[in-house]
Amino acid sequence: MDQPATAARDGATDGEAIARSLRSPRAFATIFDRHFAVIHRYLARRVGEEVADDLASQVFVIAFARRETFRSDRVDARPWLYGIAANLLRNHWRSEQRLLAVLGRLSNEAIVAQRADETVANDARVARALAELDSDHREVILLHVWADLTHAEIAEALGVPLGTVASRLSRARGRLRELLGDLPVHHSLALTHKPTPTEEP
Amino acid sequence: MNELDTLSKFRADVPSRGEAARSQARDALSAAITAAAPPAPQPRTDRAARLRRRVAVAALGALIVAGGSWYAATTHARGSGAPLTHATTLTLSGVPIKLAAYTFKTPQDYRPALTYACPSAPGESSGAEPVPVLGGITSAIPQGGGCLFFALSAGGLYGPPASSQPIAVGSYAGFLFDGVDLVNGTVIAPGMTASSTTLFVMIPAASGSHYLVLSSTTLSDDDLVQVAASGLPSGQ
Repeated sequence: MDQPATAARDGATDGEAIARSLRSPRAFATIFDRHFAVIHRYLARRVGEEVADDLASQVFVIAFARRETFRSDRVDARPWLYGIAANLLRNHWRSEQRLLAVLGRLSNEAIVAQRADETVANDARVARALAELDSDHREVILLHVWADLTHAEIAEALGVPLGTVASRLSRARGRLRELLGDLPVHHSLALTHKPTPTEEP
Repeated sequence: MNELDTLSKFRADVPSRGEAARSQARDALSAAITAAAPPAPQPRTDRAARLRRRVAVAALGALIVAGGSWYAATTHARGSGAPLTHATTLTLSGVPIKLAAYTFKTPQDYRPALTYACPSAPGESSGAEPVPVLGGITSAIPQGGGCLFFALSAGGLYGPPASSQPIAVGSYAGFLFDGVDLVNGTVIAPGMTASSTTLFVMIPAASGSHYLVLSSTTLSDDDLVQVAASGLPSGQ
């Protein structure tokens, strides 16, 4: 799996690597090698693996075409790449809704099949809750939780003010709390969310 | 457990499709990278093409000598050998320049040169004639000195040097080149000096791609792109 590190083994930051790719286009492969896996994984969680294959590819082709717009003094290209991914995801809103709808139905089917697995049931509740979220709020909270972006990085990715990110995140959290209630979740395959230094309590 | 922890675990076990997805994406990116790379120099196997190229080199050489004289004259006339500064903002309100079917806007305070190419001195004729390879040569000069040179290179006889940098000019593929491109020891692009930047814009045509060639010692890369884009149709 690619590491989300921002400096390559040769010591160049993402900004330096992209600046170099202006003179030597093949240098952009460094950005692909560093970030493809995390971008693909994020997209796969959002819209499923098959659609993610196509979208992740598009993210890097678009990023390459627009690489001149990336400031060479930026260390980390991930917010920029996630921003491109977010734009692409807007065209796949229905794919995401369909996926969430399928996941949301699983608990009913599990109960009918006398296989009321706790994890499946809880996942279904989360899926239904996510499906209820406004798209802007969903985007912000998933960039924060799944992509591990800070508020400032989300603002950069989406091209919105920092205050907008904070308010959207706050509203998304509040709405999720309402929808999920006191969910007694236990996932055996869970990953622990690591709060970033700028994360709100 | 709060909502963020719950959310972080949702679909956390999505399996990776591994090398298949990566390979597919890498192929797509490689195609984009290859498309953006400057074209390789044309092989010199066609005798007629070689002949035309030699004629062009000779004619352009004469043109550059004249241009160099003009540049030196204007530099001395300003009483300063300091490098010309690049504009930070560009207002395209100068004289319009017609080249073939295109009309380009030029920066503020530009006026047409009296000759096809950059004149040997302001207001004087360089005596240069149009060059066969580069059609419709014309140029504009700013009040503060310098020269903006326009030309068309037909049918791939002369294109961007291999070390050019790709750049988008609207929906067109462009290539920027700094300095002097030498072919057989001769400068082939009129107006090229060690301090000039030349922009090549590939224009698809029925008879093969043409290149719009803009060269300037004073305009920045972005300025050249703006000037070029001002005269090209928005779609290809």
